[in-house]
Amino acid sequence: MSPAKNLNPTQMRGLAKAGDVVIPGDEVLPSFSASGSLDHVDRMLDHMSDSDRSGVQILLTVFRFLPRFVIAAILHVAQRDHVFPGILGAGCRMINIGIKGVVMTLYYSDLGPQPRILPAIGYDAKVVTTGDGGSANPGGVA
Amino acid sequence: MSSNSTTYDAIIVGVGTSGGFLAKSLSEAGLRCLALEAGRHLDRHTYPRSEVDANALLYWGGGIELNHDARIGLLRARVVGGGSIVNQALMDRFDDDAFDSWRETSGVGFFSTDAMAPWYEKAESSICLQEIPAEYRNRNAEIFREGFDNNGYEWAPLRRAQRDCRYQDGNDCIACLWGCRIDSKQSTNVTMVPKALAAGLDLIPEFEASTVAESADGVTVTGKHGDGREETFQGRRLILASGAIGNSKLLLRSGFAAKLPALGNNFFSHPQYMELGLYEEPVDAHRGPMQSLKSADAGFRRSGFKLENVYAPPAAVAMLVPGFGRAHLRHMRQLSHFACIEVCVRDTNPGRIRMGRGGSFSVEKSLNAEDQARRDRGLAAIHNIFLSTGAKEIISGSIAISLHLMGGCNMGVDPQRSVVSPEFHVHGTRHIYTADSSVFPNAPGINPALTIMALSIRASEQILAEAKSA
Repeated sequence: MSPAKNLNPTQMRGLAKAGDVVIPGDEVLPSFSASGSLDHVDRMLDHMSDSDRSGVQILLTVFRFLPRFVIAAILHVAQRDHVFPGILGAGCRMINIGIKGVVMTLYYSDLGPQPRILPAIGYDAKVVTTGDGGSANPGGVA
Repeated sequence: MSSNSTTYDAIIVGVGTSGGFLAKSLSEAGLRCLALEAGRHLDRHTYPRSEVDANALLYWGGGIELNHDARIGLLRARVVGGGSIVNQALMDRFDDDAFDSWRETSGVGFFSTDAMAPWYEKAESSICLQEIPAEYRNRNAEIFREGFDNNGYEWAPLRRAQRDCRYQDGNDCIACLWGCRIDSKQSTNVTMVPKALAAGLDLIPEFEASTVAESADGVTVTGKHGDGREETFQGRRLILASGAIGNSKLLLRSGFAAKLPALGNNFFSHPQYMELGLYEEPVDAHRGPMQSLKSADAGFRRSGFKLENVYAPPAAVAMLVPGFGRAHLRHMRQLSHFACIEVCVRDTNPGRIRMGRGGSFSVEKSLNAEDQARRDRGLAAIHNIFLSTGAKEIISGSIAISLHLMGGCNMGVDPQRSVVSPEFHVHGTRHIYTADSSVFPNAPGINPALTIMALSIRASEQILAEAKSA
């Protein structure tokens, strides 16, 4: 795990732990912490708003000190936002979107040294660029 | 803070669809123009190649911003070319129903299909428009078509702003949601901005405008460069082209709310709900043209929704699939078996953009009972489509997405109830204009891009006429 600019070591361990609750891996797919995603967390956090980044940092700090089953329970509750009124429901949605957003985006960007997640889920979108990679007259009208 | 010594004929804040068209028109007419854009100036060689980088580099908030209660994710492009870089380039004219509603709400006479026709024609003649040939439709589109036919719904081919996607080479349009790497998509970054630059436009990317002010002689725009330097620019006129949220924020932060009670109000967003159908056989919804068909059902239109034949990259799909852990992974391993349709709600409940402490803002936006009923009617139609085409499971997306961000500076004749005049002036100003989606009086229920172009072309002629007579 490389050091990150936006997360201290405690928060990085919190992200690894929460990430493995969200994506534990299976017989084909690696877990979040084994996917190499952690090394690229700054590519995401660098561009978050200050308030969003602070929220993620606080959450990851807390997760560092919680057992995995408690993190799983929190995420379960966060997904039952519809049973909570007003600000409680909004808080649940923010936790859910915040944690899943960071973990899922890093993981399914497949940033490890060799692509293995996208091939395993059958995603192989491509664009064939020929010559210089563009149309001869991109701004023109047919 | 430094002050630029040049006095520009026009300063354009935001270089998306509207800003691109205005920059080109005004620069080619001989006005000395400056365009300021908060995002980067990328091209086909430098567009991001991964989902994480695309979210980070092409959108505000690192990918997504949330409304006040986190029920709606707002996708707001932040790059030269704006929404035209990241959209699917769907180009539809508004119908009588949309314009009648606009005219009734705003009192603006030219909101009609006949009066807007010349401006639509100019917009359409400035870009390349195509329908997807039937032989290149992917399985996701065929499920959409079969489901519509099975249920007696009307569908039609989509018209897209693209030049040559070379489907015969196996190209997948979904990759161009992060910017088109073969410059087929007719973003303003390929259609308008190069022509504007050739005509002398000064373009400053990675500059976020923070305040604007008007004096008797012109305008000033102050903001920050990406490296933190503050700078002020002067111009004879200002064109706001940073969209519903961007324009509203800038005017609110600059103190215009005192004279414009409607500023930031009347925000609409076409909330969209994606549904996934899981099929026994592979669908490969990511292959080929991502969107090629649309709903054209008069009953849907009357019911306040439309259905779209869409898909999304893996991380976005992962966010839509509820749950986590091994059950979530099992679903994601079946990604290639998902079909996807979304309902786009023509929302009736206006939202509000408000400034908070320290320059933050919030978007108060919710669905009222009518909007929820519209959504539910659309979801029911999607379920009918999936069930009639053999889906073995239907997964409902866990969050609404809005990328048609409209209003906040609505056009109208009454300064107490609107922000922008029919002449595209911000009410009470002589030198400040806007013509982008922020001027929409309500939600049309139709993709806005072509109408933004048409309004911007009309505005450019108005601005040039006023410049000539000044």
